[in-house]
Amino acid sequence: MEQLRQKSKKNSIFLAGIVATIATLGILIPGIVLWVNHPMISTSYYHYNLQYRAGQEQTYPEIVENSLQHIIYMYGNHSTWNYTIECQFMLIEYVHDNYPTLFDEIQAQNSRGQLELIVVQFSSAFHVPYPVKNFRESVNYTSIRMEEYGLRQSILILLQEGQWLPAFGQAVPNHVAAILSIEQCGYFNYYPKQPVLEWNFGGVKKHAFMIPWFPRFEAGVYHHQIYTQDGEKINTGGYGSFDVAVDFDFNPLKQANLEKRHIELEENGNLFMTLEDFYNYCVENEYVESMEKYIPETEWVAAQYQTFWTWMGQGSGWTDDGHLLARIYNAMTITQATELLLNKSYTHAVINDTNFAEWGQYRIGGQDGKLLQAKKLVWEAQVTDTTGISPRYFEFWYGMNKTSDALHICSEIIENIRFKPTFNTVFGNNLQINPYTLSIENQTSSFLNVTDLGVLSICEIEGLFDLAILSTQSDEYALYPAALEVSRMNLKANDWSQEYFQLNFKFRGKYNVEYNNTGDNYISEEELNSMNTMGVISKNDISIHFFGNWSTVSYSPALLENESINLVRDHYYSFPYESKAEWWILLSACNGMVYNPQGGFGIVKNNTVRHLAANWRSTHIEFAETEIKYNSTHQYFIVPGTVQEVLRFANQINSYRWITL
Amino acid sequence: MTDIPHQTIIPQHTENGVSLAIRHLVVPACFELLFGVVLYFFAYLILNKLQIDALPPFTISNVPIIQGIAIGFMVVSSFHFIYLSLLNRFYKNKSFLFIGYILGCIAVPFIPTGAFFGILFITDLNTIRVAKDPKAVEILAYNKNEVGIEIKTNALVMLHLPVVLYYLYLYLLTIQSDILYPNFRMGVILSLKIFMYAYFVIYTLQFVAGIIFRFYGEKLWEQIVLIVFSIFNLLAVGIVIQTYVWLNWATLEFSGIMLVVGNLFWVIGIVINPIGIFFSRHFIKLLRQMGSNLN
Repeated sequence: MEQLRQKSKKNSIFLAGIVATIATLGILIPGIVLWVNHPMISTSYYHYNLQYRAGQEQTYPEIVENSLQHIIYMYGNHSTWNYTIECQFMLIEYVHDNYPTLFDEIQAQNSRGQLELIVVQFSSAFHVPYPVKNFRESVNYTSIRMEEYGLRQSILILLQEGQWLPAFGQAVPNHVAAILSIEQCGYFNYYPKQPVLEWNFGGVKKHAFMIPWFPRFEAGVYHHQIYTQDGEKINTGGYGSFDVAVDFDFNPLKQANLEKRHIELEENGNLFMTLEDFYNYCVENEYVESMEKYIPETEWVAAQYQTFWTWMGQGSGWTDDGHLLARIYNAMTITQATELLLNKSYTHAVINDTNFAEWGQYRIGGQDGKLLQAKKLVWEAQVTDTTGISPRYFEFWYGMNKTSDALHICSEIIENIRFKPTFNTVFGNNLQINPYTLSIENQTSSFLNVTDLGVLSICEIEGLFDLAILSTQSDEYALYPAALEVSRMNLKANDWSQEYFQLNFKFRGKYNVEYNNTGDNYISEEELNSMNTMGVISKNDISIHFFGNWSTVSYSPALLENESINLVRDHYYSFPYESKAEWWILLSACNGMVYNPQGGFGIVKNNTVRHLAANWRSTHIEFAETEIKYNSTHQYFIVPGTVQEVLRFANQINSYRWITL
Repeated sequence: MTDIPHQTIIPQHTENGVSLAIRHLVVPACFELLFGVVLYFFAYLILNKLQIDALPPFTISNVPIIQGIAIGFMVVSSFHFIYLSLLNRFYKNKSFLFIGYILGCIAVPFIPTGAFFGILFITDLNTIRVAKDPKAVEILAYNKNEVGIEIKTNALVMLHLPVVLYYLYLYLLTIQSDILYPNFRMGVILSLKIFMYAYFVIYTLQFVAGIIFRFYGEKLWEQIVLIVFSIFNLLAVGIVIQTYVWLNWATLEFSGIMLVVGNLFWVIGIVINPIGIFFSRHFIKLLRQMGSNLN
């Protein structure tokens, strides 16, 4: 017995070793078998942005020569490596006009299906704050021009900064799916299992195509993304992809590393697919499920940028987001009104075919009509970098100049039309252009008419709507209390009228200057520094709160201004599991409306005065803006009525704003 | 040519069997605690710092589950520690020993360290249960058979290392490693592949050597193999970690004291590889005894 015990002791290491080996390899080896049994499939997209430094055109050739062409030619040398480039049409046009050999290579790769081109819009524009018309036109223009160049567009949509626009289906008849990242869904507490989601929204059925940042087993394959970033960063500059050298200087080591990784992947049996290839594979093999949750507008790294706060409220850099977005919105409505006048003038024979071609919104014989030029300027001003991550001074002025140029062109078109001999006969001296009703009124009695019914106090409004309204600003600005004017107003149209309450706020900025929506007087940084507001050093952080019961809300998503959707705040995260950070739900309110179904009223911001995102919590709605540099005015309307009535008011005030000549 | 192996058992010395059991279970207990703490901290990071949902199943919605699992690990670890603190007092109590078997089994899923030391602990309990004096268990001298077995066993257990390196290589190859250039450049990723092949060959050769020594052991060769693997066991993981640091030396930009610390990352590899330490120590013991007891 003792002998046996001793033997047992002696063999314990062997026994432990055997058990540990079986247990360990028993877990690890099936993983490898799983790996081996699943085809390894890669997708990739290189996001290129000609407006990377909006306003510095000298960077255009650097982007093409130091980065883009190296990627194109690398893949050109390996015809089985399918890949995707996502960019704005401006880049394609620039390459076409300046680098014919490179363009031919792009065309060749594209036509043989190796290179997928996700080119959806004209510029790398931000569409979260706007109605549909502007986006639809940019998409249509791009489609036509891509066809003209003999390039095949992807059937997928991927927008600048990975913008997810839930109502994208309204604007893109030829595209079947929009790309949505796993993280964008997770931020809104939604975790679908399949890579393709069927999305029925606004009467349109499309797909959302999920892409993972990290490798994962899905659709029966091991799917990984080789790259999903700024293409400029993959082969220029120094370390990593988190920063880029000032001049986008080509880094041959990074380029060689990328190619080496592809070669290694190929040796491991990796199959290189475009995003469209993989999407088609998923659909054909029915890796599709229904999209069960509404994901509001968001940018690509929802948590890092608090959905789109960086673009619509956070004021780092030289732009005050609320101001520039309002300015762009204004330019958008002016071009819209100009278009209506132009079209009516043409149908009433006030202008002839030549005028219509020269001043209009079409590209004829390679020449853009004036209105198209104005629209392109607005699209360019919309580029995300004018309000996004710390805009530089030249980027701020890029947005300012492009909008004022657009307005100049519109004024010119309007003046040209008014100068026509038959204009007065047809339209008269005074006229009002109303894009909402698609009408031009020349009888002042038929004009939309705003009446001031008198001043009242904020307490009266608070009592009327069971609201508490609070505005705050940085302590340092105590010397300059926010100014508030409250009025009772009435908007009267031909067949309806709406009473509402108007709140005008004024805040001081670090610099004692206020930019309006039209001005283009350039102020240099030096001059600006001499215009400091007395007694303050920091920029102003402001916010306007509307406290009340906001457990549910109705609003119109971007691109769907004529409809509204009702949401419940508790369906989304706020402070999940007592986290320190707050999960924001921002509502861009493309027509300005945030409707409170509990109270039967809406708050409509005047988007052409200040266009900020509404941060929605169940206890309040907050319009905030940080690091305000310039003096600012904010205008909000509290509008009683049904959601349809408030929607009508909001669209008339914002999306289809009228102009009076 | 060689001696025919025999089964002679020669008592070598006695050891405190209870202390041995404690030493064996304390390793998985520490690993469980470490794993629990790291997992809990990771969940905290997901929720409060990274706020990402990009890496399922490590998602925001799974944070409570992840933290629950992490707490579970810590609880298991604390059971182990509590048990070990009482073992010295209650090692004669059969019910108490029975609980020990359960705790030993619980350690097994924490592969490979928990599995290895968990089973060792269970066999230790067996010894304690049947020994006349559990605090003076007879430890046998090693014989020729055992050299081969231990070399073979060590090779088998460590075969997980090239498999883990293969996982790491494939994962790094398929994540967007270019974003992290040059820290995970191809040179670094391919070095993992080289280590994977090298370690696979080395451990396979070691396994073959174990089989050969089982039947045809020659003292000189056995000693050489034991010396080589007592060092290699200790350094196997450290070499991979230190190579990563050296490959990234230029970008890490160490200065001052970090210049010294930067060359000591291999120590981490020793600390996180207790199986390596175990076999290294064992091989050294074998070497010591070879001169006296080994036939």
